[in-house]
Amino acid sequence: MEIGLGYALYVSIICTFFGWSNYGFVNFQTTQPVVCGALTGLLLGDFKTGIIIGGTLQLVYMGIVGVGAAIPVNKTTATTVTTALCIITKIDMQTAVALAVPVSVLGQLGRMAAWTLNTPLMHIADKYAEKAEFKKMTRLQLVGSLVFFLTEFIPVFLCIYFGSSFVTMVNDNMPVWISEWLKAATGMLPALGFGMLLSMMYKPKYIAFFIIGFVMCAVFGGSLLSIALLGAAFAMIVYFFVPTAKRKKGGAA
Amino acid sequence: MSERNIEGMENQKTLTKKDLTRTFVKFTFFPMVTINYERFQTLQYFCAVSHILEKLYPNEEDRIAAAKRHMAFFNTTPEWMGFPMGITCAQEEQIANLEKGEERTALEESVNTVKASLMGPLAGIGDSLDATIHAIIGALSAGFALNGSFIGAALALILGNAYYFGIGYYSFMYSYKNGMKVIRDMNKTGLLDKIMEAATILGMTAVGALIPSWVGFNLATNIDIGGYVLNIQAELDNIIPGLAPLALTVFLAWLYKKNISSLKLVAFIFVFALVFSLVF
Repeated sequence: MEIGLGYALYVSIICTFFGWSNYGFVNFQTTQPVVCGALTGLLLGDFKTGIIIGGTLQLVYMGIVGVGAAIPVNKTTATTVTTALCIITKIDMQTAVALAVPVSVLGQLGRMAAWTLNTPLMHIADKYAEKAEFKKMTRLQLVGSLVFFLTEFIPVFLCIYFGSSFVTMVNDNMPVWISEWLKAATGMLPALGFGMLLSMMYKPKYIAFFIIGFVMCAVFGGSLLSIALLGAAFAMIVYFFVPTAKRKKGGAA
Repeated sequence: MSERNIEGMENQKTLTKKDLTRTFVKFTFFPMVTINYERFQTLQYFCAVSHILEKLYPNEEDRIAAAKRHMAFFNTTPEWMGFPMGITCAQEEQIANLEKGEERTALEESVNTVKASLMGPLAGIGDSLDATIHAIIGALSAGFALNGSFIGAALALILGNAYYFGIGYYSFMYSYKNGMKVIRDMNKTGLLDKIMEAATILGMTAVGALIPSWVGFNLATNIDIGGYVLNIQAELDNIIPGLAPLALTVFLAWLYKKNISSLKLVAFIFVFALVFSLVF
Protein backbone atom coordinates (compact mmCIF):
# COMPACT_ATOMS: atom_id res chain seq x y z
CA MET A 1 0.00 0.00 0.00
CA GLU A 2 1.30 3.43 -0.99
CA ILE A 3 1.22 6.09 1.68
CA GLY A 4 1.58 9.84 1.33
CA LEU A 5 4.67 11.74 2.46
CA GLY A 6 2.74 13.68 5.09
CA TYR A 7 1.25 10.59 6.65
CA ALA A 8 4.63 8.82 6.54
CA LEU A 9 6.20 11.75 8.43
CA TYR A 10 3.43 11.70 11.02
CA VAL A 11 3.80 7.96 11.61
CA SER A 12 7.59 8.20 11.64
CA ILE A 13 7.63 10.88 14.32
CA ILE A 14 5.39 8.78 16.57
CA CYS A 15 7.56 5.71 15.97
CA THR A 16 10.78 7.65 16.55
CA PHE A 17 9.69 9.18 19.84
CA PHE A 18 9.86 5.98 21.87
CA GLY A 19 13.27 4.83 20.63
CA TRP A 20 14.55 8.38 21.11
CA SER A 21 13.40 8.33 24.74
CA ASN A 22 15.94 5.59 25.44
CA TYR A 23 18.91 7.96 25.16
CA GLY A 24 17.85 11.38 24.05
CA PHE A 25 14.90 12.04 26.32
CA VAL A 26 13.38 10.93 29.60
CA ASN A 27 12.85 7.19 29.57
CA PHE A 28 9.72 6.39 31.57
CA GLN A 29 9.91 2.72 30.55
CA THR A 30 8.52 3.77 27.17
CA THR A 31 11.28 1.72 25.56
CA GLN A 32 9.71 -1.55 26.70
CA PRO A 33 8.01 -3.18 23.70
CA VAL A 34 4.81 -3.87 25.65
CA VAL A 35 4.53 -0.15 26.46
CA CYS A 36 5.63 1.48 23.20
CA GLY A 37 3.71 -1.04 21.12
CA ALA A 38 0.47 -0.23 22.92
CA LEU A 39 1.05 3.54 22.75
CA THR A 40 1.95 3.45 19.05
CA GLY A 41 -1.19 1.44 18.41
CA LEU A 42 -3.26 3.92 20.38
CA LEU A 43 -1.87 6.90 18.46
CA LEU A 44 -2.38 5.21 15.10
CA GLY A 45 -5.92 4.16 15.90
CA ASP A 46 -5.50 0.45 16.52
CA PHE A 47 -4.87 -0.05 20.23
CA LYS A 48 -5.39 -3.80 20.21
CA THR A 49 -2.88 -4.57 17.46
CA GLY A 50 -0.32 -2.45 19.29
CA ILE A 51 -0.94 -4.24 22.58
CA ILE A 52 -0.57 -7.70 21.09
CA ILE A 53 2.48 -6.94 18.95
CA GLY A 54 4.08 -5.22 21.95
CA GLY A 55 3.43 -8.25 24.13
CA THR A 56 4.82 -10.65 21.53
CA LEU A 57 7.98 -8.61 20.99
CA GLN A 58 8.43 -8.13 24.73
CA LEU A 59 8.95 -11.88 24.88
CA VAL A 60 11.13 -11.99 21.78
CA TYR A 61 13.49 -9.32 23.11
CA MET A 62 13.43 -10.52 26.69
CA GLY A 63 16.89 -10.65 28.15
CA ILE A 64 18.42 -8.79 25.24
CA VAL A 65 20.16 -6.13 27.26
CA GLY A 66 23.24 -4.02 26.79
CA VAL A 67 26.06 -5.67 28.64
CA GLY A 68 28.99 -3.42 29.39
CA ALA A 69 29.73 -1.08 26.53
CA ALA A 70 27.85 -3.01 23.84
CA ILE A 71 24.77 -1.44 22.26
CA PRO A 72 21.97 -4.01 22.10
CA VAL A 73 19.63 -4.36 19.13
CA ASN A 74 17.01 -1.64 19.12
CA LYS A 75 13.92 -3.41 20.43
CA THR A 76 11.94 -0.19 20.85
CA THR A 77 12.16 1.04 17.30
CA ALA A 78 11.62 -2.52 16.10
CA THR A 79 8.34 -2.61 18.05
CA THR A 80 7.01 0.79 16.97
CA VAL A 81 7.86 0.28 13.29
CA THR A 82 6.45 -3.26 13.26
CA THR A 83 3.24 -2.04 14.90
CA ALA A 84 2.91 0.86 12.47
CA LEU A 85 3.59 -1.28 9.40
CA CYS A 86 1.14 -3.90 10.60
CA ILE A 87 -1.58 -1.28 11.08
CA ILE A 88 -0.89 0.48 7.77
CA THR A 89 -0.63 -2.62 5.58
CA LYS A 90 -3.17 -4.70 7.57
CA ILE A 91 -1.02 -7.82 7.35
CA ASP A 92 -1.30 -10.73 9.75
CA MET A 93 0.20 -9.93 13.19
CA GLN A 94 2.21 -13.15 13.39
CA THR A 95 3.87 -12.32 10.08
CA ALA A 96 4.43 -8.69 11.00
CA VAL A 97 6.44 -9.72 14.04
CA ALA A 98 9.20 -11.06 11.76
CA LEU A 99 9.73 -7.49 10.47
CA ALA A 100 11.14 -6.62 13.88
CA VAL A 101 14.36 -8.52 13.25
CA PRO A 102 15.77 -6.40 10.40
CA VAL A 103 14.37 -3.18 11.87
CA SER A 104 16.02 -3.81 15.22
CA VAL A 105 19.40 -4.22 13.56
CA LEU A 106 18.87 -1.07 11.48
CA GLY A 107 17.95 0.81 14.65
CA GLN A 108 21.05 -0.53 16.36
CA LEU A 109 23.21 0.81 13.54
CA GLY A 110 21.57 4.21 14.00
CA ARG A 111 22.54 4.20 17.65
CA MET A 112 26.11 3.20 16.88
CA ALA A 113 26.25 6.20 14.55
CA ALA A 114 24.92 8.43 17.35
CA TRP A 115 27.53 7.21 19.82
CA THR A 116 30.21 7.99 17.28
CA LEU A 117 28.77 11.40 16.40
CA ASN A 118 28.63 12.35 20.07
CA THR A 119 32.31 11.70 20.62
CA PRO A 120 33.51 15.19 19.56
CA LEU A 121 31.20 16.67 22.21
CA MET A 122 33.66 15.42 24.82
CA HIS A 123 36.45 17.55 23.37
CA ILE A 124 34.22 20.60 23.14
CA ALA A 125 33.21 20.02 26.77
CA ASP A 126 36.89 19.75 27.74
CA LYS A 127 37.50 23.20 26.21
CA TYR A 128 34.57 24.72 28.09
CA ALA A 129 35.78 23.08 31.30
CA GLU A 130 39.07 25.00 30.97
CA LYS A 131 37.09 28.23 31.24
CA ALA A 132 34.51 26.94 33.75
CA GLU A 133 31.65 27.62 31.32
CA PHE A 134 29.13 25.34 32.99
CA LYS A 135 26.12 26.62 31.08
CA LYS A 136 27.71 25.83 27.74
CA MET A 137 28.71 22.38 28.94
CA THR A 138 25.20 21.50 30.03
CA ARG A 139 23.83 22.92 26.79
CA LEU A 140 25.78 20.26 24.86
CA GLN A 141 23.08 17.86 26.03
CA LEU A 142 20.74 19.43 23.47
CA VAL A 143 23.16 18.47 20.71
CA GLY A 144 23.40 14.92 22.03
CA SER A 145 19.64 14.66 22.19
CA LEU A 146 19.23 15.98 18.65
CA VAL A 147 21.81 13.48 17.35
CA PHE A 148 19.85 10.66 18.94
CA PHE A 149 16.60 11.96 17.45
CA LEU A 150 18.01 12.09 13.91
CA THR A 151 19.72 8.72 14.07
CA GLU A 152 16.44 7.17 15.21
CA PHE A 153 14.30 9.11 12.77
CA ILE A 154 16.21 8.37 9.54
CA PRO A 155 15.98 4.55 9.67
CA VAL A 156 12.38 4.76 10.92
CA PHE A 157 11.31 7.02 8.07
CA LEU A 158 12.97 4.79 5.47
CA CYS A 159 11.19 1.75 6.90
CA ILE A 160 7.79 3.43 7.03
CA TYR A 161 7.88 5.31 3.71
CA PHE A 162 9.42 2.64 1.52
CA GLY A 163 8.60 -0.34 3.70
CA SER A 164 4.83 -0.24 3.55
CA SER A 165 4.45 -0.94 -0.16
CA PHE A 166 7.27 -3.48 0.01
CA VAL A 167 5.67 -5.31 2.93
CA THR A 168 2.28 -5.42 1.20
CA MET A 169 3.88 -6.79 -1.95
CA VAL A 170 5.80 -9.51 -0.08
CA ASN A 171 2.82 -10.39 2.09
CA ASP A 172 0.47 -10.84 -0.86
CA ASN A 173 2.83 -13.34 -2.45
CA MET A 174 3.89 -15.21 0.64
CA PRO A 175 3.54 -18.99 0.66
CA VAL A 176 2.15 -20.71 3.76
CA TRP A 177 5.41 -22.40 4.70
CA ILE A 178 7.08 -19.06 5.25
CA SER A 179 4.45 -17.85 7.67
CA GLU A 180 4.59 -21.22 9.46
CA TRP A 181 8.36 -20.82 9.64
CA LEU A 182 8.17 -17.29 11.04
CA LYS A 183 5.60 -18.37 13.60
CA ALA A 184 7.89 -21.17 14.81
CA ALA A 185 10.87 -18.82 14.97
CA THR A 186 9.00 -16.18 17.00
CA GLY A 187 8.00 -18.86 19.49
CA MET A 188 11.60 -19.96 19.93
CA LEU A 189 13.25 -16.53 20.16
CA PRO A 190 12.49 -16.02 23.89
CA ALA A 191 14.71 -19.07 24.50
CA LEU A 192 17.63 -16.96 23.34
CA GLY A 193 16.86 -14.17 25.82
CA PHE A 194 16.52 -16.62 28.68
CA GLY A 195 19.63 -18.47 27.51
CA MET A 196 21.63 -15.23 27.57
CA LEU A 197 20.35 -14.44 31.06
CA LEU A 198 21.16 -17.94 32.19
CA SER A 199 24.73 -17.88 30.91
CA MET A 200 25.28 -14.44 32.49
CA MET A 201 24.22 -15.65 35.94
CA TYR A 202 25.42 -19.24 35.72
CA LYS A 203 27.56 -20.70 38.47
CA PRO A 204 27.24 -24.34 39.56
CA LYS A 205 26.07 -23.35 43.05
CA TYR A 206 23.01 -21.56 41.61
CA ILE A 207 21.68 -24.50 39.58
CA ALA A 208 19.53 -25.66 42.53
CA PHE A 209 17.45 -22.47 42.35
CA PHE A 210 17.06 -22.81 38.61
CA ILE A 211 15.74 -26.37 39.01
CA ILE A 212 13.30 -25.32 41.74
CA GLY A 213 11.95 -22.50 39.56
CA PHE A 214 11.60 -24.79 36.57
CA VAL A 215 9.87 -27.63 38.40
CA MET A 216 7.51 -25.31 40.29
CA CYS A 217 6.31 -23.93 36.97
CA ALA A 218 6.46 -26.87 34.55
CA VAL A 219 5.31 -29.62 36.89
CA PHE A 220 3.27 -27.89 39.58
CA GLY A 221 1.95 -25.14 37.34
CA GLY A 222 2.85 -22.24 39.64
CA SER A 223 2.25 -18.76 38.29
CA LEU A 224 5.25 -16.65 37.37
CA LEU A 225 4.62 -14.08 40.10
CA SER A 226 4.35 -16.70 42.82
CA ILE A 227 7.61 -18.32 41.73
CA ALA A 228 9.31 -14.93 41.53
CA LEU A 229 8.20 -14.34 45.13
CA LEU A 230 9.63 -17.71 46.09
CA GLY A 231 12.90 -16.66 44.46
CA ALA A 232 12.80 -13.38 46.37
CA ALA A 233 12.35 -15.37 49.58
CA PHE A 234 15.42 -17.51 48.78
CA ALA A 235 17.36 -14.34 48.06
CA MET A 236 16.35 -12.84 51.41
CA ILE A 237 17.30 -15.98 53.29
CA VAL A 238 20.77 -15.94 51.77
CA TYR A 239 21.14 -12.19 52.26
CA PHE A 240 20.13 -12.13 55.91
CA PHE A 241 21.08 -15.53 57.26
CA VAL A 242 24.24 -16.63 55.50
CA PRO A 243 27.31 -14.92 57.00
CA THR A 244 29.64 -13.27 54.50
CA ALA A 245 32.84 -14.71 55.90
CA LYS A 246 31.85 -18.26 55.09
CA ARG A 247 31.34 -17.53 51.44
CA LYS A 248 34.07 -17.23 48.89
CA LYS A 249 35.22 -13.72 48.10
CA GLY A 250 34.63 -11.95 44.83
CA GLY A 251 31.36 -12.52 43.07
CA ALA A 252 31.28 -9.04 41.65
CA ALA A 253 34.42 -8.29 39.71
CA MET B 1 39.23 26.83 69.65
CA SER B 2 35.52 26.69 70.24
CA GLU B 3 35.05 30.18 68.80
CA ARG B 4 36.78 29.14 65.64
CA ASN B 5 34.50 26.14 65.30
CA ILE B 6 31.40 28.29 65.55
CA GLU B 7 32.84 30.65 62.97
CA GLY B 8 33.51 27.66 60.73
CA MET B 9 29.94 26.47 61.09
CA GLU B 10 28.61 29.82 59.90
CA ASN B 11 30.69 29.73 56.76
CA GLN B 12 29.86 26.11 56.13
CA LYS B 13 28.57 25.44 52.65
CA THR B 14 25.84 22.86 52.76
CA LEU B 15 23.70 21.24 50.13
CA THR B 16 19.98 21.58 50.60
CA LYS B 17 17.34 18.96 49.92
CA LYS B 18 16.45 20.96 46.82
CA ASP B 19 19.99 20.74 45.42
CA LEU B 20 20.01 17.01 45.92
CA THR B 21 16.58 16.52 44.40
CA ARG B 22 17.73 18.45 41.36
CA THR B 23 20.69 16.13 40.96
CA PHE B 24 18.41 13.12 41.39
CA VAL B 25 16.06 14.36 38.68
CA LYS B 26 18.93 15.14 36.33
CA PHE B 27 20.69 11.79 36.56
CA THR B 28 17.52 9.72 36.43
CA PHE B 29 15.93 11.70 33.58
CA PHE B 30 19.01 12.25 31.42
CA PRO B 31 21.56 9.55 32.17
CA MET B 32 22.71 8.96 28.59
CA VAL B 33 21.92 11.98 26.40
CA THR B 34 25.54 12.54 25.36
CA ILE B 35 26.69 8.93 25.63
CA ASN B 36 29.55 8.19 23.22
CA TYR B 37 32.28 5.69 22.46
CA GLU B 38 35.08 7.72 24.01
CA ARG B 39 33.91 8.64 27.47
CA PHE B 40 30.38 7.23 27.70
CA GLN B 41 28.32 8.93 30.43
CA THR B 42 31.03 11.34 31.58
CA LEU B 43 29.33 14.57 30.53
CA GLN B 44 25.99 13.44 31.94
CA TYR B 45 27.62 12.84 35.30
CA PHE B 46 29.03 16.33 35.25
CA CYS B 47 25.70 17.86 34.17
CA ALA B 48 23.92 16.14 37.05
CA VAL B 49 26.15 17.84 39.61
CA SER B 50 26.87 21.09 37.74
CA HIS B 51 24.53 23.25 39.85
CA ILE B 52 26.06 21.79 43.01
CA LEU B 53 29.56 22.64 41.83
CA GLU B 54 28.40 26.16 40.98
CA LYS B 55 27.01 26.60 44.45
CA LEU B 56 29.98 25.13 46.29
CA TYR B 57 32.73 26.85 44.34
CA PRO B 58 32.15 30.58 43.88
CA ASN B 59 35.59 31.31 42.46
CA GLU B 60 36.63 30.44 38.94
CA GLU B 61 39.81 28.55 39.79
CA ASP B 62 37.93 26.00 41.91
CA ARG B 63 35.23 25.68 39.29
CA ILE B 64 37.72 24.86 36.56
CA ALA B 65 39.32 22.22 38.75
CA ALA B 66 35.91 20.72 39.55
CA ALA B 67 34.80 20.67 35.91
CA LYS B 68 38.03 19.02 34.82
CA ARG B 69 37.73 16.52 37.63
CA HIS B 70 34.34 15.39 36.41
CA MET B 71 35.35 15.17 32.77
CA ALA B 72 37.25 11.97 33.57
CA PHE B 73 35.81 8.71 32.24
CA PHE B 74 32.59 7.45 33.77
CA ASN B 75 30.16 4.73 32.74
CA THR B 76 27.77 2.51 34.63
CA THR B 77 24.18 1.26 34.58
CA PRO B 78 21.75 4.24 34.79
CA GLU B 79 19.70 2.54 37.54
CA TRP B 80 22.72 2.42 39.83
CA MET B 81 24.23 5.83 39.16
CA GLY B 82 22.82 7.01 42.51
CA PHE B 83 25.54 5.25 44.50
CA PRO B 84 28.60 7.09 43.17
CA MET B 85 26.52 10.26 42.66
CA GLY B 86 25.59 10.45 46.34
CA ILE B 87 29.17 9.92 47.47
CA THR B 88 30.36 12.54 44.99
CA CYS B 89 27.91 15.09 46.40
CA ALA B 90 29.05 14.35 49.95
CA GLN B 91 32.70 14.59 48.92
CA GLU B 92 32.33 17.85 47.00
CA GLU B 93 30.52 19.37 49.96
CA GLN B 94 33.38 18.32 52.21
CA ILE B 95 36.03 19.63 49.81
CA ALA B 96 34.35 23.02 49.54
CA ASN B 97 34.52 23.44 53.30
CA LEU B 98 38.21 22.61 53.60
CA GLU B 99 41.08 25.07 53.46
CA LYS B 100 43.51 24.57 50.59
CA GLY B 101 46.13 22.03 51.58
CA GLU B 102 47.17 18.44 51.55
CA GLU B 103 43.95 17.12 53.03
CA ARG B 104 41.89 18.89 50.40
CA THR B 105 44.06 17.72 47.51
CA ALA B 106 43.80 14.13 48.71
CA LEU B 107 40.04 14.37 48.91
CA GLU B 108 39.85 15.93 45.45
CA GLU B 109 41.79 13.01 44.05
CA SER B 110 39.57 10.52 45.83
CA VAL B 111 36.47 11.79 43.98
CA ASN B 112 37.52 10.04 40.79
CA THR B 113 38.94 7.05 42.62
CA VAL B 114 35.55 6.42 44.18
CA LYS B 115 33.76 6.83 40.85
CA ALA B 116 36.17 4.50 39.09
CA SER B 117 36.11 1.86 41.80
CA LEU B 118 32.31 1.75 41.91
CA MET B 119 31.35 1.87 38.26
CA GLY B 120 32.65 -1.60 37.33
CA PRO B 121 30.99 -3.61 40.12
CA LEU B 122 27.79 -1.57 39.86
CA ALA B 123 27.56 -2.13 36.13
CA GLY B 124 28.08 -5.84 36.81
CA ILE B 125 25.23 -5.96 39.31
CA GLY B 126 23.11 -3.66 37.19
CA ASP B 127 23.44 -5.63 33.98
CA SER B 128 22.35 -8.93 35.47
CA LEU B 129 19.91 -7.63 38.09
CA ASP B 130 18.18 -5.24 35.66
CA ALA B 131 17.94 -7.96 33.05
CA THR B 132 16.34 -10.25 35.64
CA ILE B 133 13.89 -7.67 36.99
CA HIS B 134 12.90 -6.57 33.50
CA ALA B 135 12.52 -10.18 32.42
CA ILE B 136 10.08 -10.78 35.29
CA ILE B 137 8.15 -7.54 34.73
CA GLY B 138 8.20 -8.12 30.98
CA ALA B 139 6.91 -11.67 31.24
CA LEU B 140 4.10 -10.66 33.61
CA SER B 141 2.97 -7.78 31.40
CA ALA B 142 3.35 -9.75 28.15
CA GLY B 143 0.94 -12.30 29.58
CA PHE B 144 -1.77 -9.65 29.84
CA ALA B 145 -0.85 -8.04 26.52
CA LEU B 146 -1.12 -11.27 24.54
CA ASN B 147 -4.72 -11.52 25.67
CA GLY B 148 -5.26 -8.04 24.28
CA SER B 149 -5.45 -6.33 27.65
CA PHE B 150 -3.88 -2.91 28.20
CA ILE B 151 -3.16 -3.87 31.82
CA GLY B 152 0.09 -5.35 30.54
CA ALA B 153 1.40 -1.99 29.38
CA ALA B 154 0.18 -0.29 32.57
CA LEU B 155 1.89 -2.92 34.69
CA ALA B 156 5.19 -2.50 32.85
CA LEU B 157 4.95 1.30 33.26
CA ILE B 158 4.18 1.20 36.98
CA LEU B 159 6.53 -1.59 38.06
CA GLY B 160 9.36 -0.53 35.76
CA ASN B 161 9.30 3.08 36.91
CA ALA B 162 8.95 2.10 40.57
CA TYR B 163 12.08 -0.03 40.22
CA TYR B 164 14.09 2.54 38.27
CA PHE B 165 13.29 5.58 40.38
CA GLY B 166 13.16 3.60 43.63
CA ILE B 167 16.69 2.23 43.24
CA GLY B 168 17.95 5.59 42.01
CA TYR B 169 16.48 7.60 44.89
CA TYR B 170 17.32 5.16 47.65
CA SER B 171 20.92 4.56 46.57
CA PHE B 172 21.52 8.28 46.02
CA MET B 173 20.20 9.44 49.38
CA TYR B 174 21.78 6.52 51.24
CA SER B 175 25.21 7.12 49.82
CA TYR B 176 24.97 10.92 50.25
CA LYS B 177 24.20 10.49 53.95
CA ASN B 178 26.93 7.93 54.53
CA GLY B 179 29.52 9.26 52.08
CA MET B 180 32.82 7.43 52.05
CA LYS B 181 31.50 5.14 54.76
CA VAL B 182 29.53 3.34 52.04
CA ILE B 183 32.76 2.22 50.37
CA ARG B 184 34.26 1.08 53.66
CA ASP B 185 31.08 -0.82 54.48
CA MET B 186 31.03 -2.39 51.06
CA ASN B 187 34.60 -3.61 51.43
CA LYS B 188 34.12 -4.78 54.99
CA THR B 189 30.83 -6.60 54.71
CA GLY B 190 31.07 -7.49 51.05
CA LEU B 191 27.80 -5.64 50.51
CA LEU B 192 28.05 -5.65 46.71
CA ASP B 193 28.84 -9.36 46.65
CA LYS B 194 25.87 -10.00 48.87
CA ILE B 195 23.47 -7.98 46.71
CA MET B 196 24.85 -9.69 43.62
CA GLU B 197 24.39 -13.13 45.12
CA ALA B 198 20.85 -12.46 46.32
CA ALA B 199 19.95 -11.00 42.92
CA THR B 200 21.38 -14.01 41.10
CA ILE B 201 19.35 -16.39 43.25
CA LEU B 202 16.16 -14.50 42.46
CA GLY B 203 17.16 -14.41 38.80
CA MET B 204 17.92 -18.10 38.50
CA THR B 205 14.62 -19.08 40.15
CA ALA B 206 12.68 -16.77 37.88
CA VAL B 207 14.44 -17.89 34.69
CA GLY B 208 13.67 -21.48 35.61
CA ALA B 209 9.98 -20.54 35.70
CA LEU B 210 10.10 -18.32 32.60
CA ILE B 211 11.30 -21.06 30.29
CA PRO B 212 8.29 -23.43 30.41
CA SER B 213 5.90 -20.44 30.53
CA TRP B 214 7.15 -18.56 27.50
CA VAL B 215 9.31 -20.57 25.12
CA GLY B 216 6.97 -21.70 22.36
CA PHE B 217 8.51 -24.95 21.25
CA ASN B 218 6.67 -28.22 21.31
CA LEU B 219 6.60 -31.28 19.16
CA ALA B 220 2.84 -31.82 19.08
CA THR B 221 2.63 -33.95 16.00
CA ASN B 222 1.32 -37.45 15.67
CA ILE B 223 3.55 -39.76 13.77
CA ASP B 224 1.86 -42.83 12.40
CA ILE B 225 4.18 -45.83 12.45
CA GLY B 226 2.31 -48.73 10.93
CA GLY B 227 -0.89 -48.18 12.88
CA TYR B 228 0.88 -47.15 16.09
CA VAL B 229 0.39 -43.42 16.63
CA LEU B 230 3.30 -41.81 18.35
CA ASN B 231 2.73 -38.41 19.90
CA ILE B 232 6.18 -37.16 20.72
CA GLN B 233 4.98 -34.32 22.93
CA ALA B 234 2.82 -36.59 25.06
CA GLU B 235 5.75 -38.96 25.53
CA LEU B 236 8.00 -36.08 26.54
CA ASP B 237 5.38 -34.74 28.95
CA ASN B 238 5.42 -38.13 30.64
CA ILE B 239 9.10 -37.67 31.39
CA ILE B 240 8.74 -34.07 32.51
CA PRO B 241 6.68 -31.22 31.04
CA GLY B 242 8.62 -28.42 29.42
CA LEU B 243 11.61 -30.57 28.50
CA ALA B 244 11.90 -29.34 24.91
CA PRO B 245 11.96 -25.59 25.80
CA LEU B 246 14.43 -26.35 28.59
CA ALA B 247 16.77 -28.24 26.26
CA LEU B 248 16.62 -25.47 23.64
CA THR B 249 17.32 -22.74 26.20
CA VAL B 250 20.20 -24.55 27.86
CA PHE B 251 21.70 -25.30 24.46
CA LEU B 252 21.51 -21.61 23.46
CA ALA B 253 22.96 -20.57 26.84
CA TRP B 254 25.84 -22.95 26.26
CA LEU B 255 26.50 -21.56 22.77
CA TYR B 256 26.36 -17.99 24.14
CA LYS B 257 28.88 -18.93 26.83
CA LYS B 258 31.14 -20.13 24.01
CA ASN B 259 31.20 -16.51 22.79
CA ILE B 260 28.90 -16.99 19.82
CA SER B 261 27.27 -13.62 19.23
CA SER B 262 23.55 -13.16 19.85
CA LEU B 263 23.00 -12.17 16.21
CA LYS B 264 24.47 -15.48 15.05
CA LEU B 265 22.21 -17.27 17.52
CA VAL B 266 19.18 -15.44 16.10
CA ALA B 267 20.23 -16.72 12.66
CA PHE B 268 20.60 -20.19 14.12
CA ILE B 269 17.06 -20.03 15.55
CA PHE B 270 15.65 -19.02 12.18
CA VAL B 271 17.39 -21.91 10.42
CA PHE B 272 16.33 -24.33 13.14
CA ALA B 273 12.74 -23.04 13.03
CA LEU B 274 12.69 -23.55 9.26
CA VAL B 275 13.77 -27.17 9.57
CA PHE B 276 11.40 -27.64 12.50
CA SER B 277 8.36 -26.16 10.75
CA LEU B 278 9.00 -28.25 7.62
CA VAL B 279 9.34 -31.51 9.59
CA PHE B 280 6.59 -31.05 12.18
